Amino acid sequence: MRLKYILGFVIIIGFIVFAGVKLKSSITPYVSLAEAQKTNRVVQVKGERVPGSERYDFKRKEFIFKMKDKEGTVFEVRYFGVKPSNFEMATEVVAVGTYENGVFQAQKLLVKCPSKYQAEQAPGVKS
Amino acid sequence: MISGYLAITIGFVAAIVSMAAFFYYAKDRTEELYRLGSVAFGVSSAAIIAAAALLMGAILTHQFQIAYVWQYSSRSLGPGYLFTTFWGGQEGTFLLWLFYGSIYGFVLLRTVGKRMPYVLGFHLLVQAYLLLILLEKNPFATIYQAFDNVPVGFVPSDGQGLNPLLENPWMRIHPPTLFLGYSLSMVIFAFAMHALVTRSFHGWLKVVRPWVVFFLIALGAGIILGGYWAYVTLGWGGYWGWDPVENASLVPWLVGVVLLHGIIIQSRLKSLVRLNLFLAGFTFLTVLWGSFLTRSGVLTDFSVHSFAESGLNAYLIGTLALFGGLFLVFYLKEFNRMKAVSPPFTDSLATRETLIFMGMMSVFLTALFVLFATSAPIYSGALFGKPISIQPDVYNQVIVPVAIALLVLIGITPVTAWRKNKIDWKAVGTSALGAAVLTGISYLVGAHNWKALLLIFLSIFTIWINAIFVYRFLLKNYPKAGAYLAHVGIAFMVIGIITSSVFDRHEKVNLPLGKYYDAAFGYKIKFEGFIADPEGRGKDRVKLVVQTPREKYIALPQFYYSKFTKSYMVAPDVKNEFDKDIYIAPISFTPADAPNEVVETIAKGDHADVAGMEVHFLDFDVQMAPGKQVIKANLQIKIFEDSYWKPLKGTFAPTLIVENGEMKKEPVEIPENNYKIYIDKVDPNNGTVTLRIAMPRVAEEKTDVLSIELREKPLIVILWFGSFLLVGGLIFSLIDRIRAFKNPRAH
Repeated sequence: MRLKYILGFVIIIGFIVFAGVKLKSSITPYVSLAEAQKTNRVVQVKGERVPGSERYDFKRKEFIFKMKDKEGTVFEVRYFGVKPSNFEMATEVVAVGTYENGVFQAQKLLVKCPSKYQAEQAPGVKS
Repeated sequence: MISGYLAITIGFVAAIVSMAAFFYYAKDRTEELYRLGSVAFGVSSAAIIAAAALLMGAILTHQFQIAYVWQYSSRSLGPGYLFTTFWGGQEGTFLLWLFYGSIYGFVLLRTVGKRMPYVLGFHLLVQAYLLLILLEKNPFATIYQAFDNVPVGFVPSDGQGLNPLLENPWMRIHPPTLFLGYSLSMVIFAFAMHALVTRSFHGWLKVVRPWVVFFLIALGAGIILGGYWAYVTLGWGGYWGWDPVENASLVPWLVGVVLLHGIIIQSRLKSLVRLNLFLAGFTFLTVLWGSFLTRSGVLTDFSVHSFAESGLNAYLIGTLALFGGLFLVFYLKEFNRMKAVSPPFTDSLATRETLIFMGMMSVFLTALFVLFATSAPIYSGALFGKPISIQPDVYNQVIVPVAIALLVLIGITPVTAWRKNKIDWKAVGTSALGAAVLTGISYLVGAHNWKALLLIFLSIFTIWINAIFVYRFLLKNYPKAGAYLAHVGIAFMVIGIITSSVFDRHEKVNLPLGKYYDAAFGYKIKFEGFIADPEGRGKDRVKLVVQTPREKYIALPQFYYSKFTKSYMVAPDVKNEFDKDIYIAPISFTPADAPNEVVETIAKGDHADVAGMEVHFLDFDVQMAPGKQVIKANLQIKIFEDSYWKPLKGTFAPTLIVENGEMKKEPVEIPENNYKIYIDKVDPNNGTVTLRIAMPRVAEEKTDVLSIELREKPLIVILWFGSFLLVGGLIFSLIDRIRAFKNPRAH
């Protein structure tokens, strides 16, 4: 009886420690670009996209655009992935990734759109 | 619309009356109270059904003066998608939940109305609360009630339409199935409250068990349909992304799985009374938590697809606090009484109940982990002052040891015995041997990842033992095969997840128009241009002729501009082969005449990141001659290559010549990347130069170029097959449990 409880206890504690360690290393804080430049870890930078700065780099097969973080720093984001569907109408972009060797390499892009599921504007009276 | 609001009001009042009547009837068993409760319940349900019908009618007849109809539908939607508009927004999903709740109420009334009136009482309490939310957030509000700047009586000529992502056949059944599951959790909650209030800690099991199984079927099927929808619609190549909205549906399901197994043990041994009652309440609370997480807007910065903020936060937190508090008060009050009727397990370690219990704990800890990690953005804001979020990959890392433990347990449990330390090691041995041989074959076929091989081995082992029992029961008494079949399904799902993710291959390819291009993995693909949506709904497609090493076929992925989202939308083409899916998703399209240029203004002495280069603008070099001006901008350039910034030798000096009022631009070409840099204009006052950088496109060909992602997902069909078996197995179990309920002597 005792043995069973001890065994179960050890396994559960083991799992919690294991999960906690993994969780801690996967935390991605919200930072400004200046802070992102100081660290090697995966971070999230929130900002506005710079309209008209989008391009597709055929050689490197990357989607590249510029964004401006809350402190006003403009920087280039490279994203090796499919451009998010609602990108053009995004009011806010969150780039998740790392700043390495002078480039923000995004692993994921989150776009916040005003009317993704809830319509935001009032119906135009003229329409 | 007054009649709709009236229906909700009547529904609310009647639900309160009915609830009160059933609560009194539980104490004072008079026939009149029961009749009053039943009639009031009938009125409430009729009002809910009327409200649902009115909303559906308003949608089908395009009553755009109603804000909900205007927001989520339009004239161009076909009848099939007009239906889906019903649950396009939050108010509709509440109404859908209430509609289901009314149906469950009828079933409860017929089956346990007299025997367990508290169940109906608490069921109606939840219904009344949901109706109260709808009174606050009225689905029938007109647009001039919803928006201040719209004149009274204004009727828009057309609606906003449905998000094209939802305009998908799978979206017709995914949300209603999911909500069928969510709403079933309130029945489980009602039974748990009944058990606590009446202190019949064992009597509720047999009745609640089919409901728990039904909950797992509906929610499980909803989750799987959602994954399939994501796979065939979103284009990133996956079916599960650990998104908060997905996690919000997974956690209640996992808790429900633990509850079902706890009920099985308690039905046999009378143990785990406290745990099971806790889990029954917790299942419902996790559903409420999920609603809060996805509807309140707390996650809009974190989730790809949660609802926007809705102003319902107070209500949602209130719901969680009210029902959580109610449950906890009764639960803690009865804590010692529950313990007294809950005998502990025997001392033996390898009994069936211990193994099931270990499996329960594995799933429960996983559920708690997902709950904790998904909620991180909420509590981290309060704890650290700054919200944080979690990289979804952590879930994949944590789930691996759990999956290993679970597969071993599910594999061994069928050959153990209740209460006795007895394992049929012979069966374990033969199955392990068979699994080892099959795993060896998959190694030879090319699976060389030890983690994947371990999981494949354990899955085959699990399937092997459980399949024997499926076979035995299928011939004798097929509903009893359900549990084993569901476990076979889980193991198949693990195999499908492993093969399709660990052995997934993908490559990005730029396809010039009109000729075969060597893509990747021995595929040749020809981009033949765009074709108009055959259904005339503007969802245009890209036509690709794909020559695989085996055959030739035409792929038609969607790629179109959506007015609703004001952006380009993509849906992949998925070709199912027996051994893999070929998955093609468009990424971007560049017409031949599109300038592939960027423009950047830099101040003297400053630098800018542009087009993958770091351009340092040193100074101007101006030569004046009569009628002629030659301006050079001296640039130093670093280019980003192989993950580092490589400085280029020398300075680059694009030139702008102004002669007799005419401008001539002489670019410089960067040899490393063939980019041409022009001076667009100079501003002597501010000392800035505006550079235009022209980038060559694929192979410098002047044709349209489509960029796609080509993927191979090996054996993903095993995942869908496994989920089919899982749901099928649960349906067998449901049949078994309904039979057991009808026949009091059955086990």
